[in-house]
Amino acid sequence: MNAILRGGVYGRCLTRSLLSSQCVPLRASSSIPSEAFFEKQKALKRPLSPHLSIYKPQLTTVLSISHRISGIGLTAVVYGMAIGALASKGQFPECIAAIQAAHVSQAIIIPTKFLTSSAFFFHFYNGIRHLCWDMGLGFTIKELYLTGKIVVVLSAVSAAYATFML
Amino acid sequence: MALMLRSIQLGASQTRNVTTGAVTRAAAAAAVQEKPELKKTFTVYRFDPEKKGDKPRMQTYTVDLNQCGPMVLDALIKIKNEIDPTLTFRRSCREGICGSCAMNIGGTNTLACICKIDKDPADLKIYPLPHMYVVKDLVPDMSLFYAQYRSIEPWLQKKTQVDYGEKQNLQSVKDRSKLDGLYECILCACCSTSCPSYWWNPDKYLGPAVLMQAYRWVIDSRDENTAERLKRLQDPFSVYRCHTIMNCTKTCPKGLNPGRSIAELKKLMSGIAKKGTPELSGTTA
Repeated sequence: MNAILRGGVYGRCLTRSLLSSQCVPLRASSSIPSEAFFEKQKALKRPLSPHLSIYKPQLTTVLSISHRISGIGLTAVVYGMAIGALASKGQFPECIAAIQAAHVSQAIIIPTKFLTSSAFFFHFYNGIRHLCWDMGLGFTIKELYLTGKIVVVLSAVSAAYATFML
Repeated sequence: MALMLRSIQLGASQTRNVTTGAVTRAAAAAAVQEKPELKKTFTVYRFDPEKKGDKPRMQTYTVDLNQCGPMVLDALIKIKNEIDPTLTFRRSCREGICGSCAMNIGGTNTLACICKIDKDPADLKIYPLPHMYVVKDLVPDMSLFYAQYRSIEPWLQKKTQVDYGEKQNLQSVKDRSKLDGLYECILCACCSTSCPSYWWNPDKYLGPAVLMQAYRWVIDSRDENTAERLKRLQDPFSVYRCHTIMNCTKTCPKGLNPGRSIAELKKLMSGIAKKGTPELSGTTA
């Protein structure tokens, strides 16, 4: 395929070069007009092939979507607490005291602590992984899977520590 | 006399060859027949554009693996030849170099011709490349993908006037080695159609396959339009919809690394990295 395309492109370039002895200058943007393409598909009533529902879950995808979900969750927690603090009448220590006085069941406290801390640690460790990628490091399949598994194990251990020891 | 003898000898040897050939073939056929049936079911996505109002459906075919070649493409061809001639798919080289038979096999994208059939009895699901408009059965419309490839202008560009085909463009061995792992791409679109970002933004995000080729021309020491190429990609969608999900690299049937190429492209675009000056430039005398 590539060979055919390359041939075609080279051929076009050759024709142009015969005319002007130089290839055309680059267009300003890489975005291409795709409306016609989508209209044609709609007119022909072509179905869209299945995607998310049939693609086998990969560690790569699962960790990526988890990074997003934990990020959204943490943002909600941070904003929720900040807005809650603004809205509540008492000072922070008083709020804490009120929560402690309510004697919430451990069956609620432990999962809540584990969920929030695992979201935090996962997002933190996977964030380091993302920063490494931004530097161009750790892109082989072997490294991707190794660092991915390390992040999962580390965040589970850290979250367990935060839940039961702090 | 000698000539006659030779011709007789030749005749004799030919006969012998024929007999041994026939014997071997018969033995092989017997050996094949002795093997018990090894049934495998293939569940294939079907869609017929010629039937009015046809809805995509899954159709199951059973193939005896002992009467079939080892690859998924062999099974598809066998089904088309012997069971259902209406089954439609693209294929050409049957050795992983043309990229025609790219499809979703067992949940991941790969080339049917170099994907071995799993011998376990569990049925194998075959879909067209994900999130593409289906022309028929396993044949998706690739024209947007090709238009995107065209948009990155995948050819050598020089600032100065060049008479093409007259002289060679010089390039050092080291500079040439930077293209390894990039030029081997066969544009089968397995990577692009495995990328959730490309699924959600096929109109604005170029996708891993095309971006790897963009990077291939950006770092080519002979190409002089590097700055222009990078500038043209500078918008929120073309490159930056890549969120390093890395399905692309995981699924590439050629073992290439489009994810890494996009990261290198981002480094060049953000100024973290610079394209080195060519070790060799100009043309042969």
